[in-house]
Amino acid sequence: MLVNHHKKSESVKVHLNKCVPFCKLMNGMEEDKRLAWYTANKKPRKPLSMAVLVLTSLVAPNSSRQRSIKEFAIPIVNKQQKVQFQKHIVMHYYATGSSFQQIKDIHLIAAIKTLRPDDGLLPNRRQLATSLLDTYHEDVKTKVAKGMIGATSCLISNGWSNINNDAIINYMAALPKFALFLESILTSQQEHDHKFIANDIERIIREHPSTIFVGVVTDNTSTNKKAWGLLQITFPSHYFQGCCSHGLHLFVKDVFAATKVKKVSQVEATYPDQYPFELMLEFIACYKDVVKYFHNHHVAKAHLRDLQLSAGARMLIQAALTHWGTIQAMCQTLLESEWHLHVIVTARDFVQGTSAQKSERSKIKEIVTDDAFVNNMRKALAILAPINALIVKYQSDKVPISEVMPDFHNLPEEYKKVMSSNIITRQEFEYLVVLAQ
Amino acid sequence: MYGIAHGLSYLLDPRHIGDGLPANSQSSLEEVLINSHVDDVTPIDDGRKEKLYI
Repeated sequence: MLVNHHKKSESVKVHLNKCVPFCKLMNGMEEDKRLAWYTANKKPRKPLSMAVLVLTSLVAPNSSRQRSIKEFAIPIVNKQQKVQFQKHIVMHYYATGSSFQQIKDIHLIAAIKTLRPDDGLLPNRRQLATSLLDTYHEDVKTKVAKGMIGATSCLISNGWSNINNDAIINYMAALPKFALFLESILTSQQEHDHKFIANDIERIIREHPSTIFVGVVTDNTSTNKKAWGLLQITFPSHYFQGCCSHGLHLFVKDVFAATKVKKVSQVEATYPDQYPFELMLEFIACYKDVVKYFHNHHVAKAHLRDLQLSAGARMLIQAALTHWGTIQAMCQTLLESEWHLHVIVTARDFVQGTSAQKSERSKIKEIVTDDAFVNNMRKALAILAPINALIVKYQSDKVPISEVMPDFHNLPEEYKKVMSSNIITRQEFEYLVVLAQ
Repeated sequence: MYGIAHGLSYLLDPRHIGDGLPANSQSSLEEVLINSHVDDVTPIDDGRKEKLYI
């Protein structure tokens, strides 16, 4: 760089005004402490966000630049933005299953007003339940239809009940990368017989002519199995089979919730042939009573919760037959709190009250203080562990179908290990192996 | 607890290729595979097995 000696100071100023580190240093200083010849704000400013504008107006009230009044005003929400905002709000309500009544909540209204004072940004409850519901239901249906075009998919049907306890059937399509909810039908007075199931599955397949359905997965009931036979005639190139996770759930039920059935030649109802878990069945029923007792008696519940919190143990979980994995969760939580339960039921004042209360509490005390309490729990957990591992694994949509068969073939090996640890008997092992086939 | 599709996928998956399957299970799965319909309209070609092995 050529520097004229008689203009040396000027040249240095010109250079420094362009020097990035120097500019940074100057900009970091307060305006009155900067060198007089330093020219700040050489570039035109980018539009600032509302928060920065407010901050700069507070920090630098004496800025020399004249700002537009528009920079301080909240921009009006245009029609397109309002539609987008309402779309996200209503989809939040539909996707989370929130009550439409909540849209009238004063705190929500106040929160929106804090950002934008415009009226009518939030939809009302009526719009949420009528026009907007129709609009976005159609919108989602269009997206699903678009996702189904040309896709290779497996149809999944599942009998369910909605929040009003009405019988419904859900249909899902499992695609290689994601799953789509197709529809839910209210069956009301329609019997779920094999003809109805087969006809309805056929209807769904016909409604998506551009989708390649490779098969259908249903529950494992005998009615569903009959329906597969009918469907196989109409769709001979498709595969029809039961849900593996549902099969595992039935496996657990066959061990821990077997029911007595009256056979043709017998007078009395009996458990399945060679059923070896009758004692375990009684224990599980007793353990459900223990959990129920601590759920229904607030003083005992609070006492137990205090002890659990001090040891970092979980709350007791109630087993529900329709809720997969809850028997395992119940045994696990009972085992974690075994010592706490023992402390409570062996307290001098535990068995007290009316004769009915005394009788109930004596029974709870007897169950918890039984020598076999811990061992039974460990045995139940050892039987459930391989099943639960598979139930957890199959919750993912990404499990390759080719892994299912070796998983089931591996179950007898898992139970052989349990038997060799003397946790289950040979008879019990053989029963479990038959169930796993 | 599993179906034909699980068996076929175990047989066809290059990671498993039916590894450890008993001989009778493998041959019955192969039979199912050979006799599978290509679509819902075309009837099964009886000579398919022959063509495959020749």
